[in-house]
Amino acid sequence: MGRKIKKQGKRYFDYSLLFVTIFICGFGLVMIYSTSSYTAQMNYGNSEYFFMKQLQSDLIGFAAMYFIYRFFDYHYFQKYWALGFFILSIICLLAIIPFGTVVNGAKRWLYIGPINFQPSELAKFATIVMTAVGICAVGKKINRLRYVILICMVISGVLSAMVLFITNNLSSAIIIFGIAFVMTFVAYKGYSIYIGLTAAVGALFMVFYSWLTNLVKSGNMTDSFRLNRFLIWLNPEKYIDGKGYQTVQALYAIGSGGLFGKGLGKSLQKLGFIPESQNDMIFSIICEELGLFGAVCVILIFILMIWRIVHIAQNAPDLLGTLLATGVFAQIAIQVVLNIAVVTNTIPNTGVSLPFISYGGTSSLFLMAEIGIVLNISSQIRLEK
Amino acid sequence: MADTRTDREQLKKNRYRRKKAMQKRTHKRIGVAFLCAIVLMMGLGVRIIMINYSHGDEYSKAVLDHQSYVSTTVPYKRGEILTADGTVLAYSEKVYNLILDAKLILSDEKFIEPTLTALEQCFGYSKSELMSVIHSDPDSQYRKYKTKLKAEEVEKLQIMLADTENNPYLKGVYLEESYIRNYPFSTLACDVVGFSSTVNGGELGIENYYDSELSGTDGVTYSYVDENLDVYDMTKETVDGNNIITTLDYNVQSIIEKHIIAYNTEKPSVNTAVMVMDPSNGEILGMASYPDFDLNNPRDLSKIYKQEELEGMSEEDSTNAMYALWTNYCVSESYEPGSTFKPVTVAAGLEEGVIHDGDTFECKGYEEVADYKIGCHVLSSKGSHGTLTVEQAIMQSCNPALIQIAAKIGPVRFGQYQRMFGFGSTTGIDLPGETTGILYPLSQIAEIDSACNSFGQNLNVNMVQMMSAYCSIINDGNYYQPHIVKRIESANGEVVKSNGATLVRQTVTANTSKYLRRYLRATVETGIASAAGVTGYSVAGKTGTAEKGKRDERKWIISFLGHAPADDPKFAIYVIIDEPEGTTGTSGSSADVLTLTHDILNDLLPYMNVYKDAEGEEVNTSTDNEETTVDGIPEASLPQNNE
Repeated sequence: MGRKIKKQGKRYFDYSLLFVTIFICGFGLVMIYSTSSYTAQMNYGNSEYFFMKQLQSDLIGFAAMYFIYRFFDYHYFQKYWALGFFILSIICLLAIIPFGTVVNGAKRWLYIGPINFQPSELAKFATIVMTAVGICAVGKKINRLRYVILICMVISGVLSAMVLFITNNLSSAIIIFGIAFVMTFVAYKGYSIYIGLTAAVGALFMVFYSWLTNLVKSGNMTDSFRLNRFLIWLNPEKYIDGKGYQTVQALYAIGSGGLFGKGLGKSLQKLGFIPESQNDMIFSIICEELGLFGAVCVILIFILMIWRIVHIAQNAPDLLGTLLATGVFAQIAIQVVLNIAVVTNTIPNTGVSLPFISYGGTSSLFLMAEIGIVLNISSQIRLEK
Repeated sequence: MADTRTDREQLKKNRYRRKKAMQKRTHKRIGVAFLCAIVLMMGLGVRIIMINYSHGDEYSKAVLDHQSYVSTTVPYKRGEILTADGTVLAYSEKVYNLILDAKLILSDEKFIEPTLTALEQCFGYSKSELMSVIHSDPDSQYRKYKTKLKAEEVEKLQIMLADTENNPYLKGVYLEESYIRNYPFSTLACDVVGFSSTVNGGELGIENYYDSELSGTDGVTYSYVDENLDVYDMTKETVDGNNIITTLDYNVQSIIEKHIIAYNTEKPSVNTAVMVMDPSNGEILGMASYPDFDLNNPRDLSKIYKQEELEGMSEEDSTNAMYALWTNYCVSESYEPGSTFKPVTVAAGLEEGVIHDGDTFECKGYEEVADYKIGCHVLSSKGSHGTLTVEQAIMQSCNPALIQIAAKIGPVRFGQYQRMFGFGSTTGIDLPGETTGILYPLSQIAEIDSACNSFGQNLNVNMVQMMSAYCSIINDGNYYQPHIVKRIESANGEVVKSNGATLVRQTVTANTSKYLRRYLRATVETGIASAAGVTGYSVAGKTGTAEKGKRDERKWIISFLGHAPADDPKFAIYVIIDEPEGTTGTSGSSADVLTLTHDILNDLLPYMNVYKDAEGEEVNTSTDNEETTVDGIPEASLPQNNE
């Protein structure tokens, strides 16, 4: 296999996706500069500190995106590339145990010379490619439930368990599992098992929720309770001096934005009140500075982006392309939903970054690479005459 | 073959169809997943709208609430007080307070060492002491560690604070500007200049009277929130206070203070006050009184009280003692002037036309008025003056002659003249706390009152009133507004206000003035005040020896009021010694005040560029020709002064 893209016929290229990607990255850079300039000036004496670092990663990401689109045929993944990424991510995750660096109290970083990156981002990437290749390998047997479970267990199960137990990063584990969930859902035949699973999770959650609220009402609980995260979620303002601080400040930021916001750069909450506001909480600053209007626009831009990816998935020349694009769609959609849900305190606080906008080099590098894969798939769509 | 081929083709076709079918199915299911994603995202959009709708105002206020809008104040610089010749009497110096923010320093381990090292380098404070200070109140964000640091002391720290590149961890240390008031000459013109405190502003003298001019406006940087909950920053620039240029002459002031102190070191008096004024415009060139105090430390009483006395004082006592010390005798004290008032009486007589130059009066050694027998000061020695001209009446300071003149004017008319010369009301000098003095009301003034007033008893005046009236008499009757401030300049030198010569009224005609100048010159040259004269200079003037308040206490105020040169006065001088040592209990003698005046004039005349215009006759500075006070003056029953 590994055939060259045939030059005959008109080659398709999804300019909309490219444009949306560039736009979101540019917007992300503006927002990173806006949110981080004050704290960067205070802590590093250079207001452009975070902005410049993110710009560097974005440029590298664009280079990677172009390279993959132009020279890396997505069918290479079937020739052991996917397996290679899968094994590499396992090695990297294992390497954290002896060589990892602790940042903000969690051991999630790996320093290789001057480069430092988060293996969990690689694990997400590996999950997408490996699951796609895995489903293609089993072919129509995917319609049997045990193959679905097998693929889920072998690929995302291993990776998410490692991410959860080695790096103690629940949100990344959930995302990895979520990606596999969406990809197998797309490949699988029936709905009932997925609907049933969703319903079961929902029902469990409702039971847990009512139990928790009763617990809060009865008041017999200790502070060392492991469910602290949920208690903060239920009543963040009660914990404003402790772990609820970030959540409450984010809500203040969202609530104070109004219809059109305070204007770009005029956030008050970013002045040290929302810690590291350029990271996971950047959406709250967007709400504060650009208002409801800006927030809805950002959501619409993301919908536009995933719509383009879905469109490419639906027109992909083969199942592998469809599944790869679905995986990318799944990651972006899950992260956007989880991030906004956390910022608005719709779900308990867990660290999820907003794709392309939050500060983070590894994340944007792999996301760009994934967009590169999708663009590569789009370029292989043969247009009918 | 064909069969197999068709089979194979059929199989291929079937597989293709199945594959196609699966792809079609996946495409559909992707659509479902996409729809789910859109629904979730839209749901979150609604959630954001709901947060804004239900909590928008509450959260907006919370955001504004926890922002700390610190308004920073930049203090203004209080204006300077200068003499007419530019010597600075009072100025404000910029100093710095060293503020420590313990909370910030302790917030990060990496701040502590560099910050303390910097403070050690710049000021030499010990690190361990700083450490214990910081730890004693680790939550404090504003602690004045050192105050009143001079600009050169903090220079090094300022450079370090500005250089954030090399000192990124120097945190929690601030320099706060403030000003302290300095009086470089400490005691010079203390009553006039006054002092100011940061709390109350000007508390005395010019500092008090011109407080609003000396004060500026603090610069403020503050934030405010408008009705749209937008935050704005505002900066109001600092406006420094205006500078006050007084009419005081540094050398005149120094000369009179030097002699006041020299006299009082030898013979301490209750009060000794000297005023020098320019008759041609009302400018006060010098004004001083004893005892003085240090303006840099005005509440220190140790200079005039012994340690034991201070310890025995109650708080009220020491407050009263301070106010007594701070009182400007020249403005705020009223007293009976005595014979220095006689030129006023004579001038009134000449002006009224009831007496003329060359008229003669008979002195029997006493004069009987109503039921009183008022003696002349020669009664006990020579007995009487005999026949005197008007000139001789002034020269010899003869009371009966003056009583006769006052009688000729008439009590009410004389009372009106007193008021016309400015007595009984404030002169309006630009210093705080001027007293009006006390006169008999015109409706009550009797012959005996008028008789006593004629030689300056039974009426209360202040020094500025006496000086201004005297200056008008010798300056062709031109009564100028007495004033102590020449002009007010803004901090950058623009003239804000100028106090020129203000002619208030014409008291006497030029002719009367000429006669009086002659009489007063004769008084110093050959008359009773000769000891005040200085060889070679034409000095004119009149002595006064007044009995204070209760006549049986026998306390005296002795004074000299004169001018030089006699015919073209460049300055007038008024010297008062209140209760000179050694005279209490005996009769008052003007000897001391003549000696003091002589000593002052000896220095002052050359400085004031007065030419030697008198005959080269040696002035007799012996005081045997002195005036003593008289007995039999009725005690005044003046209406109480309300001031």
